[in-house]
Amino acid sequence: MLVLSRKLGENIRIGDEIKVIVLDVRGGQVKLGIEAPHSVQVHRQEIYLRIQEANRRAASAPPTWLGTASQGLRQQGLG
Amino acid sequence: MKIHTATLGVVEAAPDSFLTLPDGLIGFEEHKEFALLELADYRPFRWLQSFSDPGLSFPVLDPLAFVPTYEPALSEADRAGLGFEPGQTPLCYAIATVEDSGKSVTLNLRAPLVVNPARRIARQVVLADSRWEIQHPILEHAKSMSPARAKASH
Repeated sequence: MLVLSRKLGENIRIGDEIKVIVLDVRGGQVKLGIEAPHSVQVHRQEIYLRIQEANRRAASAPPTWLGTASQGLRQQGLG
Repeated sequence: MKIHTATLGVVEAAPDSFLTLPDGLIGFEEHKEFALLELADYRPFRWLQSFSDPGLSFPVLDPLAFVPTYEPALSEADRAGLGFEPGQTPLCYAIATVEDSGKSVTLNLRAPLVVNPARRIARQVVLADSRWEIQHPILEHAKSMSPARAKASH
């Protein structure tokens, strides 16, 4: 892993199009500004992992469960 | 066009059901071509079915049917990434997690599937607003669950 030290207001460039700026450092927390093209998605790691896990679980539901769930929703007038 | 699915067999998919996800879904980045299928037996669910992998599909629901106050705020980057013109309205679906043999359903309101219907492209957008949960319950096994407990589990 590349390790760089930066001061408040200093930047890191990743390739031609991505810039990471140190905006604030306070009490063990670092605030970063990220400039990147629209095609690059930037996520907080823990949120990214939780969404990945939710997607995995969503993809693994058997159709019989979906059938039961769709009936349940329709019975509650939610369908 | 016929599309092969592991869960539903061979189903007919109209071209206007095709969706391209240039970034795939989070954790499934290699799958980019899907059809959004509607099947009467599974209403109100729709199936986001991968073209390249018959075994990969995601049940989705219209979040507004369950959470009328749902208002996903898209960033300028999200809108631009999907090629929206100013004033164009995005179409949103929530990916549904079905568990407990179908007795429990949660919606991912934090990372909806946002569709540009004019271009048939979509992206799973991670909203900045942490008010929207990754697992928002809409159908629960224990119907007697008290409001206090339901709130605590959020």
